[in-house]
Amino acid sequence: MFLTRKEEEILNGVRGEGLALAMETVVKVAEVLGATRLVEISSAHVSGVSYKNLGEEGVEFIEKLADKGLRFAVPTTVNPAGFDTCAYAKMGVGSREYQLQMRVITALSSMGAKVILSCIPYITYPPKYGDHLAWAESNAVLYANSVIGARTNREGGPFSILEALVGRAPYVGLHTKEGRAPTIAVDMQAVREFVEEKGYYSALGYLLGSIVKTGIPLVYNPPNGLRRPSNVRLFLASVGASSSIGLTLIEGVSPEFRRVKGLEMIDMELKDLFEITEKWRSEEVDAIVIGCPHLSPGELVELLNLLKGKRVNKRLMVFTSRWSIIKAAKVVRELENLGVEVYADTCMVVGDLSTLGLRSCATDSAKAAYYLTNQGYVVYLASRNELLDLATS
Amino acid sequence: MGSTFEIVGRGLVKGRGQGPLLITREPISFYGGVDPETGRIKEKGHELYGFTVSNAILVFPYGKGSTVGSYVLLRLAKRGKAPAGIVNILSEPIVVVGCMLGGIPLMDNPEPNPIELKKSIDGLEAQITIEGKMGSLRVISNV
Repeated sequence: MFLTRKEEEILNGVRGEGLALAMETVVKVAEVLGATRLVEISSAHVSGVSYKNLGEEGVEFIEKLADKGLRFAVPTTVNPAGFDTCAYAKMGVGSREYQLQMRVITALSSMGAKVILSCIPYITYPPKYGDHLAWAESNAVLYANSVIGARTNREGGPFSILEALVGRAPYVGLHTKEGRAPTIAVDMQAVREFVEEKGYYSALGYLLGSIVKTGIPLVYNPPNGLRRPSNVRLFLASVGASSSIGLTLIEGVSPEFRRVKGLEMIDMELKDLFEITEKWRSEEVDAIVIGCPHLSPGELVELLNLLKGKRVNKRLMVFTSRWSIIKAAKVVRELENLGVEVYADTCMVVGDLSTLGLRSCATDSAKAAYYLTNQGYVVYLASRNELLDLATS
Repeated sequence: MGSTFEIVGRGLVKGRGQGPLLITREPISFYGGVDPETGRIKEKGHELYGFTVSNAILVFPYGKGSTVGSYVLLRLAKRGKAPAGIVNILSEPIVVVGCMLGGIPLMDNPEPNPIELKKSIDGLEAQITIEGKMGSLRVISNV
């Protein structure tokens, strides 16, 4: 594999053993993936920040890197944590858990991370078309690649920390022009109207992922609503949950979309979509949970507009970033006055809904539905409008 | 000690280890699939369900599942519960990163393929040695 002089030096320990270990790991992974060189990245996004996933040893590992005085070489953001760092007491977080989580946050922050604790770094620090990134967190990867035209593979949580330290990623897969060519075509003509009418963008994404599983789908005739950022985010997050796809080329949405002849074509069918929506039909709903991916400031405003003048009769929880809350502070206060619970820094998937007293929930995210089902919750999947009807009925 | 034969492959993470071979045809998800405290395989329906990976030479085709799996390998290593070495058919980033962090010897591309020899060598004592790009798995047979 080709390494620049600077990369060789880091590998040989000129800048310390910590950075050498990071570079060695990045090079090893690059070799395994068949890369011939590394590429300089303009930002990194780290996932796997919750103390629950890290364990004591994972926390110590990150602390050790920080203790060695290492700093991230590029702007680096981080995924949600296990709880809201302000409302942790209300969330029933124990003191041991609190300590562990804060140690992770402190260590990442001392290495220079922007501790946004959010899965929508593309809203807070949007990359540009053609930028090379090392992003973990599949919804962010899919959005950066498919909507912005930036270039990142679906990096692993621990690996993204090492890439951020050396400022490089293996030049392979979605970083390369050849690696971004579509592998299969999907026609959404038969389902677009129904999805549009019902607002089932998330189920549509989950279905696309389940059918295609891997590679790069080229999507023809998508529902027009996918041009709306909030819908495409729900859609892509669920593609990420049901597949290993990192780039979806969508007609009318993706800057790199081009019609391609000669690809195998799959026609999406309504009956397959019904199979997805029928999967999550819990009768019980302890609370409605919205915000997978995290809500943007604009979505908070939309939510308030939809709820204004109505009574919220059901427990309604919203997950967003601290940044969104600050941007839409007035709106958040009004939502809270209506009885909506607004949480930052965490989400329904990486947090612990059971400490909030939930055994079942309704959500508009098939990604959340998938992970919460694995965690033992019973889930009802619906569109956001349907959820708000449920909350105010 | 009986006779030995050698399987060679691509060395990925340097080191040496010795232990009984634990071989599966199925991919392993370390996150959710292996208990990080005990090393026991807890994925229901897995060929190795109930077996413990600790101190064995673990042979499986490749890793799968969440990338947080790398931390599980690190956690096992810190507790002395990690495999003595890992042999993959083709390694992927989760296992490579986990072995790097945990200092677990790792090789892939083994010749001959130990998974195809499972019937005759599973459970036998073996030594793994990774030096530079060379990986060696020396199987000590009882015959």
